[in-house]
Amino acid sequence: MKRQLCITSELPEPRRRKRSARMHPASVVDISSLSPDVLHTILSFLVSESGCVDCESLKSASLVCKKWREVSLSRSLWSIPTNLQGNGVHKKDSINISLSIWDSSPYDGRIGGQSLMGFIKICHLESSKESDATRFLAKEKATGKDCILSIAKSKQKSSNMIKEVFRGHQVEQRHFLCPHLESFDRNVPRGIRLLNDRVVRWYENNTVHPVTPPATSNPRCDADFQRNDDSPMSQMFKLQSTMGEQNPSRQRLRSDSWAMIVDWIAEVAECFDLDDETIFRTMDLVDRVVTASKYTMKKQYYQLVAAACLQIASKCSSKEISGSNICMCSDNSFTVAVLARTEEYVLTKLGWKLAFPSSLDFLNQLRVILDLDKDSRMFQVMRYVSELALQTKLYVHFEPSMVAATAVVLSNYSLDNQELWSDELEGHTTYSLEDLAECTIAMSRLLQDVRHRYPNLIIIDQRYRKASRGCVAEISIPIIPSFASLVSYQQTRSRQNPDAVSP
Amino acid sequence: MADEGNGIIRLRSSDGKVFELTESAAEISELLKDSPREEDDEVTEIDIVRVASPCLEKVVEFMKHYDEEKMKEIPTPLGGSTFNEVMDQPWYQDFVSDEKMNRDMLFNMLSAANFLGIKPLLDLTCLKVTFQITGKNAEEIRELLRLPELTPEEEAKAREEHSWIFEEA
Repeated sequence: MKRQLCITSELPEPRRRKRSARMHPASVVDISSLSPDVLHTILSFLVSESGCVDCESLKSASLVCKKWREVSLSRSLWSIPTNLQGNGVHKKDSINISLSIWDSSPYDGRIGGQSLMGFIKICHLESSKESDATRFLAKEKATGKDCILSIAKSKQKSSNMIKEVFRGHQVEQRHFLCPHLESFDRNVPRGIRLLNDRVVRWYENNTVHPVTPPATSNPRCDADFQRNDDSPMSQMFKLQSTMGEQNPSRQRLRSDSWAMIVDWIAEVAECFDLDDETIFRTMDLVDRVVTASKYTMKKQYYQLVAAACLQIASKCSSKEISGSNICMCSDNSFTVAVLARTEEYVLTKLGWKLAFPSSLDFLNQLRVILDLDKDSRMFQVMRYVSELALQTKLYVHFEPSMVAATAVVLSNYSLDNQELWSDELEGHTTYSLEDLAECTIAMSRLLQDVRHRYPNLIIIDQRYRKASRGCVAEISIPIIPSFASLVSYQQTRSRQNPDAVSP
Repeated sequence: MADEGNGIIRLRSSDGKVFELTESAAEISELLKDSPREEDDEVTEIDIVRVASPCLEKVVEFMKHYDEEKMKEIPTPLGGSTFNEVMDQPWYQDFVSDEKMNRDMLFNMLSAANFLGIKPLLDLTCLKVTFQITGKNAEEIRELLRLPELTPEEEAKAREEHSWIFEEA
């Protein structure tokens, strides 16, 4: 007895779709007839060939077409080397290759992020000495390709690593790691990284040498300076000047929105006890993103962009704020997912250039020059003034260094101090009192103006009304009508105390 | 009444030719193994409507030989840098050699093996393709796969959209 069974397209065969017409002998098999599985098998032989990855072939395979590219970058393909331990596989090689394939790809967070996730997983599984090298290499690439965020989203655990990368990127990208791992001299550091909040040089045999004293106020900048022999101040001026080049036309948010955002950011920072620095950095980011945007941003998006900037800024500092907390602070007017997308947008817009000196950075340096204590009343006033100034339109016209210097002058003026602007400060900043006059006058007026116009925005005042900050919000900041009044102030003081003025 | 594994399976290709093989030989094909049949059937006939006879003939040849001499599993990482080094069984080397199998047939086999779920055959053909694309650049691979040539307009558009591909050249 014969029974006839018929295998036709009704069978639940998942891969049948594309093959139906092409099995005829006369038909030419074209590329689309190969299912991804088959392709995967073909390429997997390339990955494992003679224990090492055949990079060139794999690379060309990735360039054949979109489908091949997807397969050649898929995570499963790249997870193969994990099984090859002890077979003489050069992990470094395989990672180099995968990254070189990746290099030739356009920005595609999905595919790139996936395969990269694969490498990082490999690296984490590794316990060999090489693992550090590969991990750093992968990370370097990751940030170079903006994919780090998609990783951050999928892997909570790696957040510390992400943080490290963020910090590394503050210290410009190319300095983060020397590109050629092979050509390392033992005495040449591999890169700079952060270890327990200290910037260290990192050497071949995993030894580290600190380059900054512990608990510096601003490790990133310090790391930057350490590579040069210039003083911190002149370094910051250099950085500042590059910022000016990038931002030729500074078009800002409308001043009322700007002031409100500053107020909101300050409130969040106060709630979650974030660094003061975060506020300044956030506003710097907001400013640059708004300027970089081609189109005028709708008003309802201001807060979202500011929130994304806040998150980025907080990642760069010692205290991070979670996305859900930010959303909560915004009265849940957006979701964490939206925030993450915005964060990506912001980073792309800024080209990952996150670290520019803010006026607070300059203030910190000026504090060192003035030999002031961190908790001194004078320094608190300086910070109060510059934070208030952040709310004004001052930033449209003046650079952070100028604003910081002005804050010193205005604080001295308000506190009725002996000297407004010393020669030493002039030497370090190249600003004379006359240079600062315009900014000082503008600042003193705008501070009054802001108080007058936005009586509801009182967060910064509240912050500095605390005893821990020396209740400096209670001092009154006078209006300086003209440069002449500054000069006469200086002259009166020096006449009263002729000894106090340095010869 | 046939014992398990001794039944006959007849495969009918898309153009009507019939190939016979034993049930034990057909075991390696997941599709054939899983296809429904009744206990007391001696001969089961299955229509493989998507595989043409020249290709099915080769597939059946493979399945029959596999029943006699099992193909070693292809080790990863591969044991050598040429196809014959990796695949050291002469029959299988010969089976997919360039003389006996042209490019179209190879790809047909690949698809057929995938369709019928014959893993050893799939591995073998994949390995062959792997060595064919080894050392070739993207253009050559495209040629091997007979990708349709782009019209000048399409190419210009592609270059514009995917400038990254051409940067390295």
